Amino acid sequence: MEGLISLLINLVLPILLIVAALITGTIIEKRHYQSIDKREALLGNIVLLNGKEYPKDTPVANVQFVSGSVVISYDYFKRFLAGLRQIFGGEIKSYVSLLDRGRREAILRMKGKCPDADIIINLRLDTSSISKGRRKRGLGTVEVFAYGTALKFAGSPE
Amino acid sequence: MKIINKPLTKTADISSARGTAMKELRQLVLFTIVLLTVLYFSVGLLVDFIVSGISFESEASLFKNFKISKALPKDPGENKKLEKAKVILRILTSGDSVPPLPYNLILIKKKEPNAFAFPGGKIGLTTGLLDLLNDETEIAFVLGHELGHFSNRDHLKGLGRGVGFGLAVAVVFKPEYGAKSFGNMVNFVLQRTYSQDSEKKADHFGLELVYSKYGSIRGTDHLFKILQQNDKLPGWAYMFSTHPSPQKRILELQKFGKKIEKERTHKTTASPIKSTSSVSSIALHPLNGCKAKFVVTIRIHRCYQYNLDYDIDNPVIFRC
Amino acid sequence: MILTNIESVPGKKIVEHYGLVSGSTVRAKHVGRDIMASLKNIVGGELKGYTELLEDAREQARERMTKQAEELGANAVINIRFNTSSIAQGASELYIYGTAVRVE
Repeated sequence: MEGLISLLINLVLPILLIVAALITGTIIEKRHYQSIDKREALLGNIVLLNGKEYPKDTPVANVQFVSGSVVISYDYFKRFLAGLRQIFGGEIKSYVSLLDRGRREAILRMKGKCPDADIIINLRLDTSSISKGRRKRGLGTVEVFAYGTALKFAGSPE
Repeated sequence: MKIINKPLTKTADISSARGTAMKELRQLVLFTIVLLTVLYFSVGLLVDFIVSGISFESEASLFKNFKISKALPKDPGENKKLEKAKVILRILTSGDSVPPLPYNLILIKKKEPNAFAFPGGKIGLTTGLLDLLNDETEIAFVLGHELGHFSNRDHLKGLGRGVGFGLAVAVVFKPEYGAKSFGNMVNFVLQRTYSQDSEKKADHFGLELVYSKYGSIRGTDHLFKILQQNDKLPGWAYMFSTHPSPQKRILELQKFGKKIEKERTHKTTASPIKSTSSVSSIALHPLNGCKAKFVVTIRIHRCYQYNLDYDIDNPVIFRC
Repeated sequence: MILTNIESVPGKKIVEHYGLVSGSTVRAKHVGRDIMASLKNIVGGELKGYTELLEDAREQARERMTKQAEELGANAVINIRFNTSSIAQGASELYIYGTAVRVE
């Protein structure tokens, strides 16, 4: 009986957790990417520029400061993969895809606040770890924040 | 300033990390298993090397003050059996076949039937085990099994491996990395397979010892038969157990027992019985393949009631 | 590919703006480097292993960004910004972004 309990704690439980996180994580990621693709195509009319310049000869109809943010956190499976990756070194792909999703989501939310703008200038992107150090593990929750100035030109189609 | 709106298509997922989870998992798990196996075997080799350098004398002095936390000082109810076991231990350790350590029996209050070999010659028996044991050979086999661990230095090796590999895992799988559980998992499985092998060897040692002292191996598997009856674990669970399943151990005991009997009866020449005191049972059984030969096995029963002046170093077997 | 972190490419005229391009990577330092670094931490000074690691990572992120710029038909990226953030213990994200443009 003792052996079975230790087997359960040491082997079965972690594997179950990882498999469960793998399945749910994969499904969620796939759906999120699908939704990102769809919305990016929808809001693709807005051009992002991270400089201060804008076409000075075109009359501007509307100026708006826009921002979008998203807070993301790593699931058990991603953490597990990252933990193993940290032994051998190299790129932590599981985190890359999460941050990629987060960043694109933040930009989409920002764009969503000015759907009929033509360009967003002076775009800034900010990534900050907001819960690091809470536990010794330091497994973070990350905020991605995007902000810029949206311009709508006069005479462009509604 | 001319702005041209072009959507990214090919390089939109520039880091190409999308949907790579399974590939990452396969690669990393493979790497980790290779790394851990290499670590495990190098720790094992190192520990074996260190242990081979520790003599029994230095082991005894090193662990002289080794304390066992759950040890019972004295339990009047179990005392009788414990005394009996102590006498048997003295019989078993009287020859050259057992490493010279200051052996001592310790009772541990625990329901689970189990026995332990502690560094420095201490043998721990749980109260649950003593309840199950009745016959002398049964007790002798359990003690012989633990003496086998002492002889093979399994207790030191196990200690060394546990500490060494635990340390290696702690360095490689830092707790903050979150994959420590994986290290523990592999550690768990590897430790278990190593343990099963050494348990088998200790069983062999115990059997041989019991046979050399008592001239019979009858009843050595009795404990496992009881354990088998009480066994609620499915067979596959023993893959991850420190000990082989009772069923497996019974089969192994029978196989090895036959081998010993065959070897010993061919080797042994008639030796006189030096013991003059009461002989409580004489068992006769025909030897395999030899028609006219009988092996008379004399089991000195209840010897725990008398002084230990018997000379039982020589197996009390003779041909007639 | 011309890269600048100012609004223009000095000496050249920007003819077309294509929009935001970016690249990122999350890198982990491996255990061996970690052990070396913790030893080095005692005496202080530059942790060469980590410097190298971050340089490599930045280079990779930059390459990814230029690839995006190439796809858009740009020959320069202006206004480049680097973003390094420690997202978890022992893991840093390197993010680089800029505006893809075509110069004469």
